[in-house]
Amino acid sequence: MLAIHPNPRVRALRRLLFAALLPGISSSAVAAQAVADCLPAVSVPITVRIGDGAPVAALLEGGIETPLSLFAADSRRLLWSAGAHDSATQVFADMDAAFFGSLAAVDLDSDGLHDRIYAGDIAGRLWRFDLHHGAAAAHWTSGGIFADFGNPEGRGFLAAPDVSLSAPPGMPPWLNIAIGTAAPGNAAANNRFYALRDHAVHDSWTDEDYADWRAWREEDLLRVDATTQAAANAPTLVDVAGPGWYVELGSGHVVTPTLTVNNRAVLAISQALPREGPCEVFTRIASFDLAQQRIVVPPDGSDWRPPLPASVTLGAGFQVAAVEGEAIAHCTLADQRVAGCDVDMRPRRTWWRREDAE
Amino acid sequence: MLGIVAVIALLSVGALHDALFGELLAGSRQLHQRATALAGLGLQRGMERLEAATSIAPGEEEAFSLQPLADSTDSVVVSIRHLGIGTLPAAHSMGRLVAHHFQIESTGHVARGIRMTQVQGATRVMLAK
Repeated sequence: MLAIHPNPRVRALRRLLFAALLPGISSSAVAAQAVADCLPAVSVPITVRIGDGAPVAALLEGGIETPLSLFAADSRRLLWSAGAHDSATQVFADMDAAFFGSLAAVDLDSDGLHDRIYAGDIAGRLWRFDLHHGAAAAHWTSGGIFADFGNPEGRGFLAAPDVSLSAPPGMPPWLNIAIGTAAPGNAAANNRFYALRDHAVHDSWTDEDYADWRAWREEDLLRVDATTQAAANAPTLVDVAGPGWYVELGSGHVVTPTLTVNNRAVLAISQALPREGPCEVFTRIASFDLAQQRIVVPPDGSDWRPPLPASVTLGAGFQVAAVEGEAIAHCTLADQRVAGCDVDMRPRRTWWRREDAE
Repeated sequence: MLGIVAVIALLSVGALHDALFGELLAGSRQLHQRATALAGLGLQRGMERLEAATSIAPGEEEAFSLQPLADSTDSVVVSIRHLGIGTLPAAHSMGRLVAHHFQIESTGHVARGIRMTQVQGATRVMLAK
């Protein structure tokens, strides 16, 4: 179901309100809201334990007036909120930009409770929150700006961050956070694909830790050339200790969450975002090798961002479905096959041991 | 003269004993190798069965046995146990995909009650529900 409000007056009011909230970039903001009208409503399912109660199923949602809200999944009762204004449950002074669908909740220890949230706002900032199970709502999270990639052209995050674990043998693990930007209303914007490395996989940061944290900026990252030659010449040994890398995407916008399969992040890049009318866009598919820190070029050397034959509805996500009798699950975007994100579901051998013989 | 015969007899008995013991040892070693091979075969069949399985819930166990040679009493007992689900599968999107962890235990049984057990860990990335 799309989030287009049936009442055009409400839609117009939302755009005006949005423009008023962000007067400095009002043109882009209005365009962003137009795009948001096309995007699917995003409610991220999350299991939380706030206060002394039992774990509950909840929905995390972004917003304009209150940037982040958490509702009980069954009753829609507000459990927690975050914003720059005093009426939010937790006040973050810098949280002055809206969040749309760029939300991801992570269960780091597979205990059923989510432990961390990554959220990107429309000002191009990626927020990180550690969740404190059992704490009162006013102290339920510690958080702050993890990376700040905002720019004058109004690049921001509309698509959800994609989180995947890297755990090479003999090395400390880290989380890859793959996320692309969009700049509605600015055709000249040079968008980005970011692959960040959060090395504090299991460390729950305190408010003081976040206060001390200096948000990563683009100059802290490695710029990776998006050319066939650069991919061929990329070093085989990658320094994984750094904060990450990025690729320039040009005028394409990322409004669909990346899907990572076997260290390959597959991205849908929308060519032109609609201001009005049907929410259809032409899309290119790009792949990035998170382990080797480079774009993935097809073996025949053809375009590394091949276009999908037919247009797709803006915000349509990658779908992966098992196929009867096949061990490979097929990946599609708007019913068009994207083989790069097929999932091999065959079992892999991991460890082995021999018991004492008798 | 009698002493020499006694010494020769003693040496002959010792040599015979050594030969018999060596044969026994070789037979036992051969049986252990067969048990090892059978256990390995069980792991292979276990992996195949795991690939074909559409669903094994966490905590569930599936066991089966094999008798690879019809005219032999050699057998293999295999059990596949689901150890749990990891919500953070390495190298894959968290939330969209999950890692199912399994343990395959295979014991090859051969003559003289000799047996050998091998345990194989396996992971299967599957779609999150």
